Amino acid sequence: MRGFLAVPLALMFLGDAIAAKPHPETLTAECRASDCVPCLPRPELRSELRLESPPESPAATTGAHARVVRDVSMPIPTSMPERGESAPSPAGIRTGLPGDSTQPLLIALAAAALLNSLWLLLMNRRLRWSQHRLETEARRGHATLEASRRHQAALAHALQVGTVGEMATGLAHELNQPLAAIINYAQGSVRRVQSGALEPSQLVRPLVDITRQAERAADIVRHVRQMVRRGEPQCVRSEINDIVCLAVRWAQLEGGAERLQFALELDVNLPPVFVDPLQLEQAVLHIVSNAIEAAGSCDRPGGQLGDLSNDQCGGRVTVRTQLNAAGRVQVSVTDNGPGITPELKGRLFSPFATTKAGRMGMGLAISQTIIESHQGELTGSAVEGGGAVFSFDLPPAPRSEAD
Amino acid sequence: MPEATVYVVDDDHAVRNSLSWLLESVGMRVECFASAGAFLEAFQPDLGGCVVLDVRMPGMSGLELQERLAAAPVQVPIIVVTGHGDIAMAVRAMKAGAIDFFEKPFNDQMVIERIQQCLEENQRSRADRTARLAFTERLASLTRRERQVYERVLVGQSNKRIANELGISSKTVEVHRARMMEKMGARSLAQLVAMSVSCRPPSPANRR
Repeated sequence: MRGFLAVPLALMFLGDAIAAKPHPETLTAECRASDCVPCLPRPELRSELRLESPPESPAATTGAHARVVRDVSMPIPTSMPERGESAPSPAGIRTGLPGDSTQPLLIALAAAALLNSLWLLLMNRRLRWSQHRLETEARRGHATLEASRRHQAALAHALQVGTVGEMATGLAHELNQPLAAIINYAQGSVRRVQSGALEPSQLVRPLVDITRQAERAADIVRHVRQMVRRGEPQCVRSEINDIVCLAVRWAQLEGGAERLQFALELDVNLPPVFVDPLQLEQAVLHIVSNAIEAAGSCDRPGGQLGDLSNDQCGGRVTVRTQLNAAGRVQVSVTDNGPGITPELKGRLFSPFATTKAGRMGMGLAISQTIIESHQGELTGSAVEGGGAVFSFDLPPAPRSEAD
Repeated sequence: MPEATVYVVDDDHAVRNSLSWLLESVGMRVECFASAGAFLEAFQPDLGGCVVLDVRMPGMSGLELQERLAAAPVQVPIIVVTGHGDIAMAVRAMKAGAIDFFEKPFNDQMVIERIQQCLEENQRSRADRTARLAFTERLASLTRRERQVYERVLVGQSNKRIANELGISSKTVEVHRARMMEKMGARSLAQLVAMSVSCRPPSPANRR
């Protein structure tokens, strides 16, 4: 919250400073200082402030001064508009007065005093005016910040709900399988016991199976809860391959994944990374889900639409881990789907960018946010011959004392 | 003819096993398949019984298998089950001729009853098919004259009128008629009519 207050305060102070000594650079510098405010839409705010500074620039002030000199004969200048040709000129003052020898000096003195007071009056008005404008601007800046905050919070919430929502189909299927098995084992046992055609020892096998299936369901629930849990990232030394494997397994729960070929090309000699495993799993999950969706769409060049007898339409997803040239741990996910359309290219990672009905388009935006917070960068590009590759790299974990 | 069997096709080992445990508890014969492909390999057109099919399976999905089976000359009743269904999936399954559509976990009583119905229906339809085949065979064994008499007897014409139409004597009609009845395996006119109605191949207009 301190960040929020810092901006308007800095701006108010600046309003005075500028009026006293106009200096546009100070403004920008001060704004940079307030960049520590989280979620600040930095470029816009800075450019808005830059727009504000020109009227306060030395040149503009000189211009105002010139206007004041010309308006000197007016009783009280109520406004700043340019006067037309009809306005009396300063020369007119002299011509209206008697021609005494001391008079020119007196007149000059009086004129100077009048000029001075008028100048002060005007400058005061102008200062108040610019201060008012800056305050308004600061309030607006604050509102923008507030809105941005709300937007972020909404995005975060959509992320939670959306991720679970988009996974709901796979999740329901995955949970219903063990539940169905449990009910079948139980009811089959009940019927046998009721008909008296069962030795107690014969019950052991179905009961063991029931337990196993209940544990399977509980595992699923536990994992989902971990995935949607909010909280600060908890970074630990982790094996990227473990994370990738889990993410792929979860992504495969999505509808359509069973038609695709998956290839995992994992470098087993990778150094550990220092990450929040759950967050990173989520990031990889979204990237893989995206690839599954793309590879499953079947409208790839050379692909035969509707050739289901081949039982797969040739969709392929490859997940690769390796150490790249920069010595960082790289994860790349390649699909042979329709690739990246030109209209989507510029906003691949922006929220709500989606080509899929019923999808929110949050996936890659979430992934990018998570990866960036782990000092990585997510990039996506089209693959020659169709398809797309998304990859990111992470710094290896610093050596621990155990190493 | 093989004994009526429930064919469970599901890629989930636990679901397959448990369903088999459940169905065997009411005395059904169950065979399990881990994939649509494995089932198709074992599938024979005169397979008696009923198929319980999971929709989501790696490789060929349940719905695709269903479409394949619908193209087979003999229809085997199919019950579709799924871990997570939507309306579109249910509509597709039913349009492709599924008897019913259940979402897992299902009510065991309902599924058992439905499977039993399917088995009975299948048995009946297989018996019907056998009868129809036999009837067609017998009909083909009639001579031209016998066939002419058969057609006229069936619509209720008297021997005398048949004799007039065919330009033969009533006595000859009687002889043809007796032989026709014998060949068709009918002891009475009523039985012959009943047999003809039930075994007549469905006309295109009546077919759904």
